[in-house]
Amino acid sequence: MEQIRFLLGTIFILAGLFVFGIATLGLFRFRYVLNRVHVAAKCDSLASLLVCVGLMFYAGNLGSILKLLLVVILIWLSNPVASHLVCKIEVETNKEIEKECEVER
Amino acid sequence: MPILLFLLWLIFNERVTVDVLIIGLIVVAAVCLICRKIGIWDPQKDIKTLSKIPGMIGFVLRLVLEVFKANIHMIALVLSANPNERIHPKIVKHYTKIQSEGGRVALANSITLTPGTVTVDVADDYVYVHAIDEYAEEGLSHSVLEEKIERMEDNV
Repeated sequence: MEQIRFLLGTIFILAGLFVFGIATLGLFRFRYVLNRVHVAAKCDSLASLLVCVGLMFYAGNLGSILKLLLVVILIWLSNPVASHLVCKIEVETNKEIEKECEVER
Repeated sequence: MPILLFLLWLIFNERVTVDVLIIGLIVVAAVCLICRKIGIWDPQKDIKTLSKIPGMIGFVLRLVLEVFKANIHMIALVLSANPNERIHPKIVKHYTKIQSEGGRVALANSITLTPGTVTVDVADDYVYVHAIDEYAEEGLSHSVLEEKIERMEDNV
């Protein structure tokens, strides 16, 4: 039982780290702010979920599991807001946005 | 809301003893009273929200599924040979029937959470969305999440 828990936790954390790695790689592979926001902010939401689920398997007791759940909820609520603000400021301040992407009015 | 606050207090404490329970009850009562006085909490609204809980759970499960699907697409995009040529970034105006403020916030947040789309701005009856390619745009135009939020609103 102990070993199965350890194994599952490790698998989840490794998957989360893999997604984090992809997100960082994506930052360098895309060219423009709005495209970079997609990978930088969004893969994080999945990766942090996976890492926290992995930690839940490690933790074992109910209190820590619920606390980790709170961490996930907080990240999932704040992450979209942060990336939304970055996008909004970029769209409103960039005068040559039409060069980068089509804009529907 | 009092129940939620009390649960939060118990989670932070990690143990259930008499002193923890008593302090928690006093603090929760004080917070609820103050919120009632300054008018940001309404018990009637809480009872209405109760009927929406099954919808909310379904919404969250669906959201996690969508995040997984879209993330796999995103990873494939990043790992492809020339990502800059395969994307077609575009800002789309997406009309929505959702009326309530909370529903629109939920929609905007879930759009941003699913990779490939970022909400740029929210207005009265539409949201500006930056979609990274056609796949993301298509997922936006017939999204299950939006229907779920709409159905939750109808229950009010």
